Amino acid sequence: MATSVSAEAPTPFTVIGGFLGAGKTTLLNRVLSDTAAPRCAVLVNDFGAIDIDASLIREHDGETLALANGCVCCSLASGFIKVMLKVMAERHRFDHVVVEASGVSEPQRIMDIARLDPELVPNAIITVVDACELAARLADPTTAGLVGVQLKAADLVLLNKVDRVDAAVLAASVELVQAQNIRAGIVRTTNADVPLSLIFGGGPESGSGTYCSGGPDTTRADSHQRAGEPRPEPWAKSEDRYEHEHEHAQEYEYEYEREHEYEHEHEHRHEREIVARQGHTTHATVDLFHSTSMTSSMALTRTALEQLDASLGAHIIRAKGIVELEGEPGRWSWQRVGGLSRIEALAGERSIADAVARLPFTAVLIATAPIDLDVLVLPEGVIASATDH
Amino acid sequence: MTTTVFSARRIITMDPSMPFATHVAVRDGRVLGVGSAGDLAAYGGAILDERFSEAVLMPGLVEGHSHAAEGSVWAQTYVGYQGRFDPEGGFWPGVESHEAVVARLQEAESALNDPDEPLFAWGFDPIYFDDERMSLRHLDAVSTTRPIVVLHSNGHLLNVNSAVLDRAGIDRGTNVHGVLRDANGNITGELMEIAAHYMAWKVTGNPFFGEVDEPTLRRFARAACNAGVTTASDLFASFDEVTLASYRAVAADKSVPLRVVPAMNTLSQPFAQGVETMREAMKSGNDRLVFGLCKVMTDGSIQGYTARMRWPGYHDGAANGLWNLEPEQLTALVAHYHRAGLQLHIHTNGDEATELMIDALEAALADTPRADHRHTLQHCQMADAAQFRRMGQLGICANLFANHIHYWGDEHRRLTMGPDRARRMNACRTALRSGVPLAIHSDAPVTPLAPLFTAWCAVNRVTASGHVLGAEECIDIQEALYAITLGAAYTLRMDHLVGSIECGKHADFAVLGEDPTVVDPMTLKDVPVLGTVVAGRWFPAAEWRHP
Repeated sequence: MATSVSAEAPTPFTVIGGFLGAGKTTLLNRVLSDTAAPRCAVLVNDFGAIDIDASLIREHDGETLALANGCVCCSLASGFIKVMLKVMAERHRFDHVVVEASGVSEPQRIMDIARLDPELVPNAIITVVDACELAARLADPTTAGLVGVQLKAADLVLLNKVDRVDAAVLAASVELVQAQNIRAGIVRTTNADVPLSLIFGGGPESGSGTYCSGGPDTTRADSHQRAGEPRPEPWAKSEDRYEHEHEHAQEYEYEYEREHEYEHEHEHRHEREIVARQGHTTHATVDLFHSTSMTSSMALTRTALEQLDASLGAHIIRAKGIVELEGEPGRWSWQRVGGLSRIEALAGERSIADAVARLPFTAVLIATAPIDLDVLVLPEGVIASATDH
Repeated sequence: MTTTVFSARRIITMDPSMPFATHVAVRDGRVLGVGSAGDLAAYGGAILDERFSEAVLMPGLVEGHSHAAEGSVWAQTYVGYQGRFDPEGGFWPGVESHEAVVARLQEAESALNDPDEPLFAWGFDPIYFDDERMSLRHLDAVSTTRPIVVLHSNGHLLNVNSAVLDRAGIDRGTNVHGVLRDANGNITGELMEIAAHYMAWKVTGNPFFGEVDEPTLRRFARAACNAGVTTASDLFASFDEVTLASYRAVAADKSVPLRVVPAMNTLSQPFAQGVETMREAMKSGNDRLVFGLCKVMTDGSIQGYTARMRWPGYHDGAANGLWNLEPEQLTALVAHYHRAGLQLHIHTNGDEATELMIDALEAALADTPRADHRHTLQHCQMADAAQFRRMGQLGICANLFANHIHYWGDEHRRLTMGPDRARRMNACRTALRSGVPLAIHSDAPVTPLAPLFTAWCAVNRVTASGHVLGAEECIDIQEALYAITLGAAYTLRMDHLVGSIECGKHADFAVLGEDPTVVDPMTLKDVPVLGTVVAGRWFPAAEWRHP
């Protein structure tokens, strides 16, 4: 019965919290149906709310749903620990574990699992909040405590449904969030529509493949990783999927277009979004994502990396990089979610060939406002591709 | 078509048209007639069975809130403070000191052959050990190499030995909430919260997880027989295929002395699917396996500080408890199942949870009026008089946790609720006065399955320290006996089948050594249970085996 813990590279672990109706399930549906998502085990409370195109479902046995993209959705029906242990027994099948925390649970207590289990590593706690309801939730004694716990726990807060509130309510909501948690990155969204790279931390090619920016006042596109350019780490993705994304990587003009949608709905979606923007000028707008990628052909000093990290403004809500540190063996992961950064030794080197092909430093920053490279304290030798103008 | 007439010293029928009798005629597993020997001559020739002539018969007792786990926990080592009998009649003396726990575990340890096989124990209650917490010192004295896990009775804590910590990679450097430390910062092996529990179960496996299997149900039925119980609920059941198959197999076996009423866990599935699952299950119900109950968990427990309380909250200032689902989701769940015509059994410990559910039921009833719904609040421990009045008006039943008064009443008065609210907890008298249909329960295996003990708690309200907690809420013996028979049967929607001894009902009896209606109320719990009769068939209770 007794087992020992394996020495393989730990699996990243993400907790998605938020109240009923905030948009958690919408976000989870995105992860599950995205062809470019890493292979996730997604543990959900309400299995029935998962809405996936039948053509993407490979197997459905009532408690688990195996999808064509390698993700598996598991119902938490038979008990959290039981289901979690089942997932961990098959963890080689997954690149990432995502847990939906119900509105009544404490996300930090769930994240403790990844802090405790050497086979897991904390990625992020993401709390989805309905901007229309936040003030009322915080005023209601039956829910105020719960909402506070969820907000305080968050590395990232998705302030969702911002299309339904006016600018004043939105500003008030942002303040309410900040009053609970000044550290968290805040992202304003509709339909929980964010690039998956924001969740999983990959570069522009990971997750949803493209998350472009350009807002009502910035119609020019910015993001992009062109084919042939050095790409950021594949994180935990398989090479074949990687190539698949790569083919489609190019410049886009739209907000967070997802890859498969892009192929089919290019023109149509463009028009619709432009119209929507014009039609909702009095409404609060969603955040648009900006990214910058960085590389260096030399190792960095730890101090230089820490200085770079400290120079990132609050609008830079996500950073993820892999780095060799001068005088320190092995390679290191640099992660920033919201205002919290971590530099940790990387376990599980893939292969020698893989390692040789890598630059000593690659990283991607994701921000909700343009990234001003002049403000960043770039270590010597780092080249940042200015993607915002 | 054989008719058997059982004679008894006295038969307590719970039928107001003939409250007491000396003879009962049984045919086809049902009661044909009740009265004197002369009365029963009207039914013609019969075999007179005098084996109970010195005994007292009551309707088979009905436990409206228990769990089939009563049949599985005994596979592990019991380390509770109070002495308890297992389903086979073996007595497990209470362990009243940490040394006694160690001794009990050493004995169990020496009986295991495989040196890697984990040792599991259950029922430990730290609330009785004021002086010192259980720690590595104790469990490492049992073994430093074999993994040991001790489950606390409140369900929120575990104690493990160093063998578990080592395998889990938990050491001094571990800094995670829930891995508790002593004043010097040393890890004590006491684990709280989901992450630490996950880690412990990851390295040892969890024997308490499994589906309900046949051996569990058979042992559950034996425990019931020992307590005079012939109908019992399994009040938070997974309706998975394995569990349902076990229920069906056991129900088909007439040598199992129990009618089982599983209440489906509604929290684990989408509403529509839950309704569908229950409707499907109801097609396969029978005399011994009754479907239809849907269980909802709203909050946690009072002694675990997870019950949801209204103002002024916990007496000792602890933070308010936890909802199992978001309040509006609970409300939506109630509406959905009510509209589908199903019956809800709703766990509410704290008075805020009770209030939310009364509101939800009131709204559901306004939306879809339904007479005789029999939705039942389970535990409902902290409801106040106004809430009972609303429940009475709305036809909501209460199954109160009378055993709690004895087991934790002192702690509720001193720590969790304070004197005012402790005094009114499990307010049986107020429930009856408000016209609320009343049952009382054990929540076995949380407390022992023994309705006569539960009745004793409701009648005397005596705490473990001997204090009478809220004398005004005491009920009399007759009312308490009603609550553990027809009262409970009513909440299970089985009062037309069981709960009294009258023509047409199942011939289910509790066979007692004394007459509970005439004993000193303080000895009600000591009335001997000799066994049960189920569908006319005699099942003797296990003989108590003291070591």
